[in-house]
Amino acid sequence: MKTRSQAKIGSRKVLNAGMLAGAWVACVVSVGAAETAPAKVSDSKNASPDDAAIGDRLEYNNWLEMSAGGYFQSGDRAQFQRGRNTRRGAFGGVEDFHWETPIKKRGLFKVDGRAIFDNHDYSLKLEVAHPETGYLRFGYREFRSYYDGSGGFFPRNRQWISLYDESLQVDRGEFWFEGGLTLPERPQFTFRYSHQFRDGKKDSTSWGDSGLIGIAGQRGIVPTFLRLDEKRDIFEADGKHTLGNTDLGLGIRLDWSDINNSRNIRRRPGEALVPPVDHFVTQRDVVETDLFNVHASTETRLNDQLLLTSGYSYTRIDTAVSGSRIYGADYDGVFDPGRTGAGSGFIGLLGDSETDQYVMNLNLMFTPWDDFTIVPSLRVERQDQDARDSFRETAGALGNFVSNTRERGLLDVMQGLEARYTGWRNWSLYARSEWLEGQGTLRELRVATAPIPPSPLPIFRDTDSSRFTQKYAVGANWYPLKRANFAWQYYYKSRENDYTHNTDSTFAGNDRYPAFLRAQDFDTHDVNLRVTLRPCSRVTLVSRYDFQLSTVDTQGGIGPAGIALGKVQSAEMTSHILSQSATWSPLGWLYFQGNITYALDQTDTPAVDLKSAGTYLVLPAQNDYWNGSLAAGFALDDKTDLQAQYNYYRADNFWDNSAASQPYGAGAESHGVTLALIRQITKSLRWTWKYGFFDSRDQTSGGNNNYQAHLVYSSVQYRF
Amino acid sequence: MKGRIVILASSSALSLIVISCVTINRVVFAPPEIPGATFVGSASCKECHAEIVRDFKTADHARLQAKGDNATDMGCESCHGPGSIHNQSGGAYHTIVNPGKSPEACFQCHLDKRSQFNLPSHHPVLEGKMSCSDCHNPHKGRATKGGGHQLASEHETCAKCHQAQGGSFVFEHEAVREGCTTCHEPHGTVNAKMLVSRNANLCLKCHFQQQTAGGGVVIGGREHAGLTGFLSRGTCWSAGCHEAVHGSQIGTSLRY
Repeated sequence: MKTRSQAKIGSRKVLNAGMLAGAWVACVVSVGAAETAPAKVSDSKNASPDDAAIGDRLEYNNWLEMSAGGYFQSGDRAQFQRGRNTRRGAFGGVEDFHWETPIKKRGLFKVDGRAIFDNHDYSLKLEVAHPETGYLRFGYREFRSYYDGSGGFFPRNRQWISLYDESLQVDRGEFWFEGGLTLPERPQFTFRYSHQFRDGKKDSTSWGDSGLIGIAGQRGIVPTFLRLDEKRDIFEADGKHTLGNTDLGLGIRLDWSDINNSRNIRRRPGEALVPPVDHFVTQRDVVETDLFNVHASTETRLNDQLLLTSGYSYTRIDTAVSGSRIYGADYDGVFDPGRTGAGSGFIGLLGDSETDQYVMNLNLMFTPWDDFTIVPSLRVERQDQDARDSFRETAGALGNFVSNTRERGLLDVMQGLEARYTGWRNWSLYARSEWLEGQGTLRELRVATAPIPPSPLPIFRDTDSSRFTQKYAVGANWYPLKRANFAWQYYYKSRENDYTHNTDSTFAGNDRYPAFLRAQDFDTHDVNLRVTLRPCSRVTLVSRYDFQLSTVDTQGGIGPAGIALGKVQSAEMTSHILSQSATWSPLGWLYFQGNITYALDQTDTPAVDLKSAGTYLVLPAQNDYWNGSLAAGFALDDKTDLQAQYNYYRADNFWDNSAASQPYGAGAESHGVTLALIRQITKSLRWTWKYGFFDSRDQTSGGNNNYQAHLVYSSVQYRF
Repeated sequence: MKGRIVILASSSALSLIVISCVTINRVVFAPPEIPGATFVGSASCKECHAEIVRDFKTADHARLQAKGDNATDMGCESCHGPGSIHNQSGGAYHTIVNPGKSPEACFQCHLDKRSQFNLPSHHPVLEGKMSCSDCHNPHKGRATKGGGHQLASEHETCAKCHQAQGGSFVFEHEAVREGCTTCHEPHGTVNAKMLVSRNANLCLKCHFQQQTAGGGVVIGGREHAGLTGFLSRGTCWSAGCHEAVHGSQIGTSLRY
């Protein structure tokens, strides 16, 4: 497949090759310098203040680290908080706490904790353990993740719609306790109970539409947010016992979850049209799930050459769903028939589903010779799922009453063979192959009943599917010298999906998925190469190259002209990632660490040739970027270290095709510099001071997401 | 003015180097090294970590092990660092590299993953809220938890945390069954939501489109092109048309 962007990639390849060569030259120069540096052995009795002397490390088992700091930021707050994953303003508290004390002869009681106010970053863990009896642990953990709830930027008229405080956040947490009875030569029992939660708001990329774009039509650029309220309780119990040369395992898992989430959309805000088009849309998804799982495993060492492992698992999942999609006067409003406009929603969703999953696997590890191992494997999975629901459509007023039923079944059989050979000195060779054959059935029935007859005809689909997957991997690790090693791996993966639609009553011109697809073939070639060099004790160089080429060939059903469609290449995906790291300690009291990665990544489909309004409707999807960091550590005196770090990121994939569509390509650049001073005041007391500056510019958002920030931070660690 | 700043900065740096050169008698270490420790071999690890050492031969990472003098360090210590001090101390804290707490050890070989975790959209591994071992098992069997011949599938590994996206749905998205990595790169991407593509190509690579006379684009039997058509509004899901990308309770076109 040829695209207009191939020339761009070609020129970048040449540029990249030049830069890589430059990096290597720099490394070689560094190596030479390092070899002439005065030798300082790494087993010096004195270490950096960060690690203290070895004796000190072993002397103190407990520590308390208190910290305080703050981010002072200008520009877009939401993007700053998302990018740095922290809040703007001051924070402080207990960075890290550990205390342990022995109990009786070999027992140990431990407490670990962290509490940073007001970043909602808390954890506490208590443990009592004895190696010959068992353990009891209790823990709580909570942390906050930050999101930017902004929408899209439309360059043509620089439209940027902001509806609410876009600094969104979600708190995730877990309370848990677990225990184990681990008496020697006895069956071992463990259990764990966990309560997990997510609560808050985050961004969605399903944006609402706006007609305020300076040209005809609409673009999806209006910010949307998700409100999350998820709770989950998990109880697990496992037993394990060794009988002769066999380890037996048996366990259960009970999992109850309660999800009450909503997607909150605004459509056409600020557009005063008749009939009104400015709507709030709230889709509420309520899902209650009960899961029961029982699993068993065996590991049998038949002799020194044979290890047989097997596993079995049965899972039952019962789900109840409810919800609505309401057009109203506000988020979470009441259904307003006058506000549905061009959209449609539903109310009164009620449904349920049952899933039964059976999985078994078998692996035999056979080592006929000391340097050769072969592992044949088998995995079989059967899954049956029934689901049904009903709801009332809303489109201007109460619409059809709809009921859906679906039955799905699948049977997958996977076989594998792996071999490893280490018979050549300083070489390790391996190969793995996998074959999966699957059969599936899908039956769907949709019945709609109109308030006023006639009702639409029911839609019934009956599809049989088959899939065949092959994967072949070969690789080698070579250690030609103590100071040099090479790793290489290649794999090829292919997947053929075929669909036979025994019945499909979907009428022409309507959405015909999933009955539209007849066949789909996926092919992937992937290769990676890694070279590690330690030309002298002070220099380590690691280079890595990853390449992947994937294609998708698709055959659809009947085309618009009523002719059966042939198979076409529907996508080509190419990815090159070049990475280099270098660690150099030219002098004992100075080190440098550098990492740089350059990626070229592109997805093309035949749609990239489509033009509209004089420009391209769908651009090739590019994920090219530069990412690098440079760090240095420097001993200022016998008790003080200075550490500096610089981070860089740049993506240049933005192409303004706003005349035809909405541009999405990532165009951004960011820089970050941090400087840390670490002073070992006494053997047990360490003080750290840090300053950071961060600058981020985002072209995709038209600069609306730009920010700058300064960090000032200090911590004190006391070991005891 | 700029020249003066450069001269001042250079002089300061040079002074610091000279002072350090004549006064410092110790070594600073680039992470994740362990000061003063030497390699002792995996056999000594077995004394306390017998089960891990026993099972390691089944691990994907065991492929790194070879026979020969040049490959002697490629055991436990290739990731955990030299273990002599950890050994002598009876397993004291801070005497061994723990990749479960810091990904630096993993990044020594997986350089590309370090950069992916530094991209704008990534799982919070560098922030310390997750670790590589949440999704990977370096000690036994396959390195990726779920998938292959394991009892759990790749999909289940992701659904462990992303339960709402895991379903069950009355109308599934077939791509979810193929694996979350069909659409997401879990280590990080330049795109929101760790998507492998940000525009309509993400969907069009599987949802074959037909170009018809007059600039028409038919997807799944429905016209999507035109100046004011669906494709012009933006990406299939960002334009607000196919929001239920993981599955729907309402209809097969996964609109909501």
